[in-house]
Formats: sequence, C-alpha cells, structure tokens
Amino acid sequence: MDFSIILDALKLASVYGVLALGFVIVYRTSRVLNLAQPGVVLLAGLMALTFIPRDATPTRFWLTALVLLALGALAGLALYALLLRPMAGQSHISQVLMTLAALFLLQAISEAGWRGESGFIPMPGRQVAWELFGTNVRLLDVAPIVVAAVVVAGLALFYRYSRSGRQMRAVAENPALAARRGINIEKIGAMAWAIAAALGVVAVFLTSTQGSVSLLLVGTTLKGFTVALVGGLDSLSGLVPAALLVAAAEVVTVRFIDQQLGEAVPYVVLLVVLLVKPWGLAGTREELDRV
Amino acid sequence: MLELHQVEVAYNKTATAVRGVSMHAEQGKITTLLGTNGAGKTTTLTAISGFIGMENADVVGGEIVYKGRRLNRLAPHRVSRLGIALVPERDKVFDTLTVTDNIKLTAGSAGKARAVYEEFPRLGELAGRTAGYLSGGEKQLLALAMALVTEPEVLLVDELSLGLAPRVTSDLLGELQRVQRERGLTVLLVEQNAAAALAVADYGYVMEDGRLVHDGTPEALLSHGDIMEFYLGTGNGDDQRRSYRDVKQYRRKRRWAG
Ligand SMILES: Nc1ncnc2c1ncn2[C@@H]1O[C@H](COP(=O)(O)OP(=O)(O)OP(=O)(O)O)[C@@H](O)[C@H]1O
Ligand SMILES: [Mg+2]
Repeated sequence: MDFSIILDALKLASVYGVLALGFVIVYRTSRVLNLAQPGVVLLAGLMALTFIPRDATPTRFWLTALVLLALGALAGLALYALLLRPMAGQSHISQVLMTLAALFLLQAISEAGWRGESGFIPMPGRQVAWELFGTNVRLLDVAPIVVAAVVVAGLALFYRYSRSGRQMRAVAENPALAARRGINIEKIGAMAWAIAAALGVVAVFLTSTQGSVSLLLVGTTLKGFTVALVGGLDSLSGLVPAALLVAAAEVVTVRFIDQQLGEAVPYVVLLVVLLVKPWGLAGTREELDRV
Repeated sequence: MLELHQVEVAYNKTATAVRGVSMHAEQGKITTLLGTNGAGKTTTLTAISGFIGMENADVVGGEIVYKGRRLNRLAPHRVSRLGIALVPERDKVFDTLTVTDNIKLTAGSAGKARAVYEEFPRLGELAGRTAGYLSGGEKQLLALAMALVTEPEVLLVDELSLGLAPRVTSDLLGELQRVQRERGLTVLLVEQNAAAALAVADYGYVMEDGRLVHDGTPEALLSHGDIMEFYLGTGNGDDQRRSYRDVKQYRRKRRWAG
C-alpha cells in the first residue's frame, strides 16, 4: 500500500472535517443550516491572498492569520445578530433562505472586490520536507492533519468539560429549558456562530497548504457541508469518520479512476449513506425531519 | 409576592390560551392551579417564566408582577436570575447530559452541586448516569433539584405527577413540601391530580378554558362538590368521597408526623 495515498486522504479529511465543523456547530445550537458559511470562507481566503504578499515574513503571516481569525469570529457574530436573531420564531425555511441570501451577498462582494482573482498563500515552512516510508513528506502535508486533530480534540474537550461547552450542549438539546435554568441562549448562539466562522478561516489556511485560493473555495466548503450531512448534521461524533470516509473515497477515485470523477465522489458518498442511514452516520433521526 | 393581573397569553399571535387571569402566589405558601386538560395551566406558568422566540408565544395583555417588578416579555434567563424557577411539564431535564452535568449546568460551583446530593441522596447514587435513561420519578426529582440549585425564591412546578404512579406522586409532593418549608419557598403548583395537590396546598385556583372559574382554600374547594365534579373530574359519588377521605387522612398523617 502506497503511504502517500494515506497521507493524501488524511490531508483532505482534515480540510473537510474542519469545514464540516462550521456547519455542525451552528446547526447544533441554532438548528439552522448556515449556507452563508461558504461565503465567509471565500472572503477570508481572498483577504488572506491580499494581505499576505508573496514575500511576507513568517511574523507577517501569523499576525495576518490571527487578525483574519478574529475578523472571522466577528463575521460570525454579525451573521448571528443581523440574520438569525431577528428571525427567531420564523419558519425554518425562511431562516435558511436568509443564510442563502447572505451567501449570494458575500459572493457578490468577493467577485466585485477581487474580480475572480486567484493565487497561492505563501505558507511559512513550505520548503521543509522529510523522507518517510519512501515518500517525500512536506511539513505542509503534516501540518493540516495536526491542526485539524488539535481543533477536533480541543473542541471535544471544550464541549465535554468546560462550563460554556456544557451550556452549548444544553442549548443544543433544549433551548427553552436552558433559558429557564438561567443560560443566556443568545450569548451561546452568538458564541457558536463566532466559533463556526473562525473555523472557516482555519479551513482556508488548511486548504491553502495544498492548493490555490479562488472562487472554487465555495465548492470546497460545500463538500465540507456534504461531510457534515454524512456524519449527521447535529453530530460531533459522526464527523471524524465521515470526513475520513469521504476523503478516502475521493482520493482513491482520483488516483485510480479519474480526476474529474473525484469531484463528484463526496456527493455520491452522501447519497449512498443517506440511503442506508437517512439521518447520517451518527445524527439524530428527528433532527433530519426538521430540515 | 407574585401577582398576575388580567393576563392574556396567545400562541402564534392569534390563539389565545389564557384570558384575563388574575391570581396571587403568597410568599412562603403553596398555591395550586388546577383544571382539566387544555385549560391553560401550563401556558400560565410558562408565561410567568418567560418565553423564548422559538416558542412563538407571548403575553399580549395584563401584567405579571414580582416584588413590584413587571416581568412581561422578560427573557427566561433573566426571570430565572430574579429567583423564579420553573420545573416544566415536559422535557424537564437534559436527556443527553449526565445527572451531574445537569446539576453542574446551573449550580455555578462544585460545592453547590455536592450540596444537592446531600439534600437528595437518591440523585447521588445516579450521578454518572445519562439523564435520558432515568425513570419518570427520578427525572422529576432531578428536575426539581436542578431548579432548586439556582436557589429560587419562587418555584413554579408543572405536573409533578405526569405519568407517575400515585405512590410516587405523593412521595414527590411530600419531598416538595419538605423543601418548601425548609427554605420558605413560594410555590405555584400545577396539578392534574387535584386531591394530591390540595393535600399540600394552602390556596387553590381552578382554571377552565383559559379563565379562572373558582378559587379558595383547599377545604372550601374540596367540599364544593360541583367544582370537584365539573372542573377537576373527580366527581360522581364514591370516587370523590374516596379521594377526599384520602386527602384528609394524608393531612392528618402529616400533622402527626409534625
Ligand atoms: N405551542 C402551542 N401552540 C399553540 N397552541 C398551544 C400550544 N401549547 C398549548 N396550546 C393550546 O393552549 C391551550 C392551553 O394549553 P395548556 O398546555 O396551557 O393547557 P394545560 O392546562 O396545561 O393542559 P394539560 O393539563 O393537558 O397539561 C390548549 O388549547 C392548547 O391546545
Ligand atoms: Mg399542562
């Protein structure tokens, strides 16, 4: 078995997993499909392209990354405050349509501001590489896997053990009871949207270890959405297996069958999984009925 | 302490479920709100505790006043922080969380969470269990403990007896009464089981079709045959006498027990 194929699958799974997290975290707390997320990812990518020039120093890179992360969190807060809060109590479909409208708006802003520009974000450490199991392994191949693992583990610990995490789980299950036990559910909702959008920014940097930044980021993010559906929209435990499954299927297809066909694989996996488990690998049945 | 003046509550801006309800929950006393299915009891209690947007319900008229402060349209977490805790009719614990996490969620500190287990040793035995797997009675106890750990002054309790055997119900109501006396709590208790509620209450209101139709002391309500029969469904002969006798015995026993 070729080691590089495992590495490729893990890299892709990392990107998809972090992208999927953005959807899952918002869905769990607000019960809304946040279709604006691809717009946030795209905008963050294009801004990274602009503010991290080719000859940027590592300091410049990390500072910009931090600023973008903070801006991402702010964008999440803004989406929550401007889109979702005023829509509380409205039908589910109109809330989703609002996020779709926001996606179109963000896309329009991106196209007007960057005119279809694309390019590579100069990642620090891009020259570092080792020979491993007969394969040339770059630092940039390992980094996204490590970052994604840290993000997922950190989030799992946060949900499990921290006070805010416990509150987020409570709000996810029963917002009315959570509110009546003294939890400010709007604060928790805002926090979820902020974390989700910030994770979108993280995902931008993960993808740009592998390729260019362009309008295609929207499609990549939608593949993350597919992974979220495969795992179960409200499920954190289904997310890692879903990301691994989709990424492995895609990498194998690209490698052995056809490059173009690879693009369709996530959707094929989704169809197959939904046929067998209509609410995803680990999702709650009733949740999907609400979508 | 807690007063309702001509309160009106509507669902989805149109369906009025509570019409012109005025009532008073006296400090340090148990007040019960009785009535048949769909009378509007749950709606009344929930309105006091505040609605979240998703519930699509609103207080559209009248005033809810607590210690001179107007509660209308206050968010539930604010009402909770003022010292009013609701134990809701359904979905009263977080099923996906453990018993301990349910309590910690609202306890604020680990010390307070431990104190809960001293007050309710039964819950201590269940600490690591996922709340969704508890029995009905255990869930009720947990729900009660979760509300009490916020140290409320007013406790709103909706159908502690829902789906429980009569024995369990009277045990739970006994537990509630014990805590209420110890802490000097003000309790507003909604019950399907009128006899059990009147056995522990100091005052009672009867609701029908969104309105209050009667109120009085437990003795007055119990001796009023029509009320028991028409509104509380414990009427026709034997049945009523039996439940009334049960209640009197329960009260006598309590008096003996001190
Ligand atoms: N979420 C809701 N949306 C619309 N109508 C509702 C809703 N909840 C309750 N109602 C209506 O409001 C009225 C009062 O209901 P409520 O639950 O307050 O009655 P209740 O006295 O608590 O009854 P029960 O003893 O069965 O619990 C009923 O006619 C009910 O159909
Ligand atoms: Mg009810």
